Amino acid sequence: MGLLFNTVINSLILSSMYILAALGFAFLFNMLRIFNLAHGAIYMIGGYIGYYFIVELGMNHWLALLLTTLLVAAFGMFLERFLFRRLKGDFNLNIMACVFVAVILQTTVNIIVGDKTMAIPSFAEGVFRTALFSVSYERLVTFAAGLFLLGAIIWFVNKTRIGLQMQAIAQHRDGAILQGIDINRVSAVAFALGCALAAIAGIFLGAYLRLSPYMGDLMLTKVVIIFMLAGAGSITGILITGLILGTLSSVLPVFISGAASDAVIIAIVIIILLIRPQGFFGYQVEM
Amino acid sequence: MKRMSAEHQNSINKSKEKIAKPVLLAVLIAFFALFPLFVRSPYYLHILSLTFIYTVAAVSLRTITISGQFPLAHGAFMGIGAYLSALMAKFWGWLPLLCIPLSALATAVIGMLVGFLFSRLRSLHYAVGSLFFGIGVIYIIYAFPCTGGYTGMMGIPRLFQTADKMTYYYFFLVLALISIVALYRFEFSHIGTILKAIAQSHLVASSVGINEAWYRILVNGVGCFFVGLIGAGYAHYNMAMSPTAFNFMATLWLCMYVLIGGINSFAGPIIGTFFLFLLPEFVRDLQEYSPYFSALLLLIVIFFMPRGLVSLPALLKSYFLKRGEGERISNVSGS
Amino acid sequence: MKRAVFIGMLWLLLAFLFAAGCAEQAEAPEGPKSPESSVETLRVGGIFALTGFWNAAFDNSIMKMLDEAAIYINEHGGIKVGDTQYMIEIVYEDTESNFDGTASAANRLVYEKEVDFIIGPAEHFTPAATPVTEPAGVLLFPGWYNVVPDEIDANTPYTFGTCQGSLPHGMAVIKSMRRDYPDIKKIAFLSPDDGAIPYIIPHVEKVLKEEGFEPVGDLIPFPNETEDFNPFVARILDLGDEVEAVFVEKSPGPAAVGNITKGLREAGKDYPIFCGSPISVADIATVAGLEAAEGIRTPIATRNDPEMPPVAAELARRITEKYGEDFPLSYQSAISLFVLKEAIEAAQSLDPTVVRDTLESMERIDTIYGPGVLCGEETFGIKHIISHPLPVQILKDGKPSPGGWIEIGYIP
Repeated sequence: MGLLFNTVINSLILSSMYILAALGFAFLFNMLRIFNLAHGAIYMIGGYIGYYFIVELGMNHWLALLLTTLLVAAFGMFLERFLFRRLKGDFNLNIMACVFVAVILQTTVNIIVGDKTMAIPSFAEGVFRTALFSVSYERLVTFAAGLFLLGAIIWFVNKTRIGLQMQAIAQHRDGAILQGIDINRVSAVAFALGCALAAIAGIFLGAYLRLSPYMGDLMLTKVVIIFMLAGAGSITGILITGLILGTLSSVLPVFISGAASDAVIIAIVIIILLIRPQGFFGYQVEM
Repeated sequence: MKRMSAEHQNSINKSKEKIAKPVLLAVLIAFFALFPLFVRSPYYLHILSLTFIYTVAAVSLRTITISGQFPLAHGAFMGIGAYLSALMAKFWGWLPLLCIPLSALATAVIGMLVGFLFSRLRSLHYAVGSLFFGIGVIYIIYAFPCTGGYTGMMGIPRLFQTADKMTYYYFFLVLALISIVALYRFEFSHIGTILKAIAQSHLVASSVGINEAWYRILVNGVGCFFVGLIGAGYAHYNMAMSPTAFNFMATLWLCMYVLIGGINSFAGPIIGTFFLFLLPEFVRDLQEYSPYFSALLLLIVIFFMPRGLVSLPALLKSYFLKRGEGERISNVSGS
Repeated sequence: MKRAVFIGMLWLLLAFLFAAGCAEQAEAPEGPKSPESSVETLRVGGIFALTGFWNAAFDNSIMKMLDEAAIYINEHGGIKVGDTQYMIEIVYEDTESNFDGTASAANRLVYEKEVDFIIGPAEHFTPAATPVTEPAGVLLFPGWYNVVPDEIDANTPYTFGTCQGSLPHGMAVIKSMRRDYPDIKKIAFLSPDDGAIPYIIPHVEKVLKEEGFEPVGDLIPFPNETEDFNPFVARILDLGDEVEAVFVEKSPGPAAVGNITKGLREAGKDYPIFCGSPISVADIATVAGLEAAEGIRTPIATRNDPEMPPVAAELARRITEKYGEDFPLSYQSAISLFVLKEAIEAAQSLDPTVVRDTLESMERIDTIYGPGVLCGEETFGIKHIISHPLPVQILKDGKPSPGGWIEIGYIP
């Protein structure tokens, strides 16, 4: 019973973090057609900035989370204004720009902090024990925060003006522009939001697992898998595919030994993609 | 009269180009052929051998892209070629020179099978599907004990009996020349034209009776053959390899070689590899700072040469011409 | 405006390239020194991961210690051959944490920098360097070995396992467990699934059996790139209440063993946990939390250990002065450098072949970790392994504490 409960909680936490990171990725792709290969690096930098605020400056965890999110969001807006906007939606150039950003961030972090073992202290100490199972408060807090943020994002996208504008652009870019939507403003918000979500995931997983300058590479593949399975243009699909991937990657290693479990996960993903190229809820992208 | 002279000038320019290109090529080939006679340091021969290897990989990647699909599994296919050849030579004791073409053929077959599986997928979906395939290949290599897993495979038989770098340098130079010429002939053959037509519109192409799925599978096979060939050579040259050399990041850098050189030109990936692969080696003394230089090169290309490094001569030409014209105009208005 | 930026960028690039060229040229004239003076420079190659995953995991601390060792040797008169004193200068090259980079680094050291002795690489990168160093006749002292075929064997006559690799480190921590917990029998046994399992695990299992430990169930392999260790914690819990201790044979960085510890403590288990990788327990505590990591033990040296041999203690003092109390003490390659010094002085020659023959003919050699013996014919196929005592570290009361030194003895 304890084993089952722990596995379930674990898969839910992982899923919520994967979903947060994948939502950021999806915003950028749906709106701007940018396949953001720097997403993993931004996730990593979020974790490190959070570490700096919490450990070096001794800030409160939640204040640090807020500040990091704002800082990384500003960085995203900066990238949009001075790098991506100038490329005018050219797919190849965008890819190159993403690799540029990722290389710069990774190299800088490697030079500054590469040799130190770092992990963000837990958001909450202690373990919640009952007769049947035991689960640490940290996991519960992470899970609750993930749920709250997901709710907030869904509210933002569906209920606010700018969120609706984002949806309009994702559905039909030219049509949206003809309706008088300021595409530059919405892109800036999308970039800020995308980077901020990655940073939040970075802080939570940096506390839950650990920090490393190369942790973004693994996250990036997971984010791409979730995004493609959900399909381009879909936001709610990501919730479901994120849950699927989180469950697979926390349950399969229990049954399949060693490196083979990763191979099985990717095989399942390929089969789904072959059956439904457009993903569960998306549409076929023509470029 | 004026028009005739302009035409005449044009034809002279064209004939100049016709002579200039082969001469340039001959000079380049002669330079690389004679290089070991002047530079005896085996280190430079090693670096250039690796550059030839990655050049072939990048050119064969671009060959697939002319059909309008962008595979993100090319590094993994290089790994398939390398691991197949290494396994054959190590465990069955076959001659490496026999294993290399065999594994290239096997890689081509696997490439065509994957192309067949993914023939329903287009553009981004194809790219990401092949990306997942590439990740899967790496995990499969991890999972099988005979490949050495994460730690890497070692004790791969040498290609030739000697460890002399010059032998390998010439081997890879010849292999690269053959592959590049073959891929060039392929691109400008009848099939290449069909592939370009498919890239422009697969609907139009199939409406005029082209079996576009078959051609896309074919080009996958051709591209994978050459990358498997060069990957197998790489395995027997290095004698040890780990899956990290073929993972998603490796594929991404291959794509960068193509994009930075210019994806629309045959010479693009060759130039791109020579710049982007050699640059980190030149700044090796700066150690952990060297990735910054690759990033800087990327930034320069993004902002100033959006069509790749191949467009540099044309850009410079137009830049100086424009400046000359501007001066003349200002002179005229001044007087 | 755009044109000006373009020109500026070009100038910047040119300046960078120029600077890079200057840096290289400035370095070049240092090699040959005037022959009259009796003090000369001996360049020793160092292949380590300056970038990439392994830099963060192990290599940075190994390199810092190697630097200190070189300074220490130079202060004490360098390497003496005849009347000449050779001052050591270590030339680093980057493995980029992959095989390609390691091969390039080895080529550059052997052919460009023309060194005769190379220290490193650590981890599993040795097989990428030996195809370059062996034909050139350059002595290679790797910083680690995994006991896999084609790493150190009869085909690599110029490669010596001068510092202990994964098997002896595992032996040290197993023996220390047996000494401190005479009653424990049943253990859970984990190892990274990195391709070395078929070769090293039989050796480790033999040692476990000799010491009276008995793995419950099968070996639990985890992928090297794992981030989330909770599934493996679940598998340990699934082994039942029989388990009395957990043994992680190797850990790629502190994250693996740290996260396993964290998960087990969260589930309310307080087994002793021991790991065969030389990782500072303080680092593990960073990942797992101080309370959770209590009692964990790894084979690594501890500051202010009264049993520590004098030279090693001096190096530890210097590292602490420079990099602070938390910096791990990774002696692996420093030991190799001292072995190189002993071997060159015994051979009275700088010719790698002569040094190799001398080293092969020595039965015992003094290392900074204590007396070492040459061994390994049966396991490796070549008598090129130097076995010396190893320290163990335990986290006691939230502080890394010495856990005694373990005699490894002769490895067949």
